Amino acid sequence: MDNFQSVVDQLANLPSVPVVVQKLHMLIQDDGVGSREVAKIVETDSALVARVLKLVNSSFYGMTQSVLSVEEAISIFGFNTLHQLVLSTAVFNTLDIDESTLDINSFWRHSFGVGVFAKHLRSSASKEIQSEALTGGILHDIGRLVIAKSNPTKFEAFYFERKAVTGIEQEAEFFDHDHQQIGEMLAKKWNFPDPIVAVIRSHHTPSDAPDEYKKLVAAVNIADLLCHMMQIGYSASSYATEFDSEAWQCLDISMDELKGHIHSALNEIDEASQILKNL
Amino acid sequence: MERINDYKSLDITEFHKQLEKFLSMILHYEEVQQMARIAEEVFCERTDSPCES
Repeated sequence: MDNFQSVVDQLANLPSVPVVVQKLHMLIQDDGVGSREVAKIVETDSALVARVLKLVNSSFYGMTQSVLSVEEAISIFGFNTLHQLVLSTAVFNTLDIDESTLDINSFWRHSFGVGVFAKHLRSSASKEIQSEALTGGILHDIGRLVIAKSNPTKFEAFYFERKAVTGIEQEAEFFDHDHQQIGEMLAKKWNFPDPIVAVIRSHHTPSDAPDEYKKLVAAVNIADLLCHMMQIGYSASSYATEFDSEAWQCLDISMDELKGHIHSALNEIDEASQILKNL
Repeated sequence: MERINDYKSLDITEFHKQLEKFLSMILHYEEVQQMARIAEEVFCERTDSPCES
């Protein structure tokens, strides 16, 4: 693990935890905390508030009436969902990548696409679980962003100049660690919630996920595959090198149901295209 | 760098070509073949493209 840590330290330049994310994490640990206190912390970053409210009011969260404040968002969605929203938007802000290295709009389109597909694949579960699926999908590939930000030359050499199949095994050989492991380091440094860490760590290897998060990780794994199939955005990966039939079976969805989920997810993605551009 | 931003920017021939290329390593799974067929059906339905089946 020491070796693992040192490699990631070399890679990073690992972005430091934004203050608001750090404070929010500490506050949410306190069972007695009120929504006003949490809202006050988030409101110290006005750009973050704008993005959180934009997301909350997007079709992703299915609101019929506008949510006008962070406090209102907390009362509707709860602390956990707000925490996830803040994490997602903070990642957008912090991991800004040079356009010449990666087409970031296309990358985020893919990430949001995976989130929306994963949410629909878990549509029979509670709202909280659906929210985890959405956030997990949005953040699943942050390891690739860390690589792109910390070592753009190597990133381009691996993802764009190699002609061979680029699966996670080749990635691990080339960078010493694959993007799941690198993403996990950032997720832990930033105190992401455990289910989201599990998604980032195991979305290509869902059988490795802890039992309590297997369905969540499976949803993101299959959502990733579907998003590539439907050619939604671009995640610096042109080939599907694996399919996990256990992950598919664990979702317990028929092919007929799957077709309905794909249509519903695409409706949301198409509607949200403005948000994907401007978030 | 290969970038496909939106399935709606493709015609069925290009969609099919990209789909097969992407899935080449895993097309031997029956479930993946079924999913690919569904993906093509959905594509055709949403883009008014002619679907073979």
